[in-house]
This record gives sequence, structure tokens and C-alpha cells, in this order.
Amino acid sequence: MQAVGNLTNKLFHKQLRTGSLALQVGPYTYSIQSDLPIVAEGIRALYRDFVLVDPQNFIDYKISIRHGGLLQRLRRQTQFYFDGTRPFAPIPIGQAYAFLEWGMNWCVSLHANEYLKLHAAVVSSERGAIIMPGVPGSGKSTLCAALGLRGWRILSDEHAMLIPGTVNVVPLCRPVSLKNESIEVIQQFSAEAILGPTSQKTHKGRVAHMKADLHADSHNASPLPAAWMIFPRFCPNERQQVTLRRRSDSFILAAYHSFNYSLLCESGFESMEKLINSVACFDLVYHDLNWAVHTVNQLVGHPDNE
Amino acid sequence: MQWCIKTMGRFYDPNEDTVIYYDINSGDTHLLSDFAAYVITQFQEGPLTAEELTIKVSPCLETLDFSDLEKTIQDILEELSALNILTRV
Repeated sequence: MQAVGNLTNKLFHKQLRTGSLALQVGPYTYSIQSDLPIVAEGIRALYRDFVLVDPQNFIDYKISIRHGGLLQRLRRQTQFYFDGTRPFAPIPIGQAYAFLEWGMNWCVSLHANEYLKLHAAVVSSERGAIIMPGVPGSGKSTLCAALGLRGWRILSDEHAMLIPGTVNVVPLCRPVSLKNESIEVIQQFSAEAILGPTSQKTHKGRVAHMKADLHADSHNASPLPAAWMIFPRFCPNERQQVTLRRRSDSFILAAYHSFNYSLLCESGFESMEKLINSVACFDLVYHDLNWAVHTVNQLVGHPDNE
Repeated sequence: MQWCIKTMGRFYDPNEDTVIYYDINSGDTHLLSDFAAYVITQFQEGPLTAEELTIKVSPCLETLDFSDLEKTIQDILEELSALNILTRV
């Protein structure tokens, strides 16, 4: 199987320009079309180990990020397209890469309802997977990136996709979104972090994505059982601690963090019950990333990998 | 006045002092006290007045310190009604 990184520079740019660059991302296929150098740079850096698929086969999500017309070109704006439609307003060219990633998230958030989906990062070791739900700014992506850089396998930075009625998480490994100070925090945390283009002044501030497929099994599509649910909260002014959460409270909070719990109706309730009954739930308040990684390792009996 | 439940929902009771109740009619999920959840289960066999309900649940309240059981029951009925779990008939 050929990966993006195996393409010659010329062929890569040709495929990206013509929309014939198609990737396997977890259980889904994406075709990506763009003529923007910043998008090419980001994909080349962050998706180089992703397997290419035949663009003539069925593609789940056909996306494009390009100029919508002369006026947009003059305004240095660009447009995200999904199946030829424009679901979002134009964006500055400098934010195109971040928008590509958000658009790819949006495709799954809105359309994939065969799984119970939580807005959560997921990492795994041989002892099981940890689901880490959190609102933007909670520090889940930063912790996810740090764990990935210390030997954990990143299953997702955005979507915990659970097969209904089971505790099995379907991997959807894509780059980790880092915002503002987290970019430098991760760069200082590990020199091995590979970052894509930085998008300035987005609605979330400064955004850069980190290559997430750092593990030998990163592209293995087999579902993995969740064993823990940790609700991280970055807070510089509070005492760092990890505390056991009650299951009933965790149920409500996990449902709050779900994209489609209500949509799945009774099946959503049953799936959440199965999940909450099967995992140990914790709150993790942290401000020191090394402490947080060490604490998570201790919690689950995983060795610290410096 | 009687109270009833349209359709009995689903419970998730992790043996804490709160219980998750999934209302099949509305699709809403509620975090209830274990006593409120117990009250809901009493409507499985049909409508009840507040007095009938009080008699039904009183055996399990022997160890609980309720100064005014009837008022407690009435408050829970009103709260469950506000959540559209119970209705007056």
C-alpha cells in the first residue's frame, strides 16, 4: 500500500490540485483538493504516512479548499467545499490549513452516526484506551499530544467513536490541534513533535497541528476497548490532582460531550450505560504537563517513557 | 388527584445516591435522586394519588429522616411533573 510520503513531489501536487489525492483515515476515506501551497505543506508534513486509496472507489468525504472566485482571490480569502457545497463563510488564506482540519472534523461530527461519538481525545496502550472528553481549552489536546510523544498511541484528538453497545473505540487518528501557548508547550515538551503550518488569528487564536501517527500501529483500523475515562482540566491556579468521579455524574458529563447521544435515542442511552459501567472515571486537574503524563501513566500502570 | 407516567423510561443505577433516568417519550436524560427514581418506579402498575404513593413508599422510608413525608412526596411529584416525567390525570 502506498502512502502519501511515497509520492514524488510532482505527483503529490498534481493529485492534490486535481482532487485525486484520496486518503484512508480510520474507517473513512477522504479526497482532498487544493491549489494552496499552505495546504500542500501541511498535508505533506502531517499525512505523509497515511495510506492512499483509489480515488475512483467510493469516497466518504470529498473536500476541497480553494478560491471561490476572483473577488475572494483579491481579498486573499479561500473557501471550504464539501461535496461541492460551501457550508462555511470564506476564510483568510493564512488560516486555510487549520480550516482544512476543522472541515475534516466537521465531516465526521455531522455525518457519521453509526457510532456513539464523544468530543474527546483518545489514547491507548496495551492496557486499554483512555477517553478524554473536554471542551475547547480544557487541555485535552495538549495532554493527548504529550501522551502520544511519550509512547501512547493516539486514536483521535477529536472524536471518540464507540461501536454502540460495546466499549470498543474505532481509531480515527488525525493530527492533533494545538492552540496558542500549547504550541510552544509541546515544542518544549519534545523535540520530536512534528508541527504543520501555523494559522494566525483564527476564532480560536493561533493554531498548529501536530503529526499524530507516531506509533507503529497508528494506522491499524481495529477497534480497541476503552478502560478509563479521564476528564482533563488545565488550570494554572489550582492544585494538581486526580480524583475518582461518580458514575452517574460522569454519565451526564459524557452525554454533554457527545455529538449524537440524543440522536441515537435509546441506543445512545444503552451505549453510554455500557461505557460508563465499564470504565473507571476520573477528573484530572493539571498545569504541569510532565506531572499530568506521569500521573496518567501511574493511574493505568503504564511505564513512564522519557 | 392522580398522577401517572406515560411510558416507563430506562434507569441506570450505579449504586450511588443519584440515578440516571432516560425518558423514552422525550429523549431527555435526567440525573435524579435515588428516591425520586424509586418514586417513578411506583407508577409502573398505574396512576396513583399522592396519598396512595405515600403509603406505597413509606416502608422503605423507615430509616430515612423525613419530617414531613407527605410534603416531600408532593414536592417530588411536582418536580417530576415539571420535568414532564409524570402528568396529572
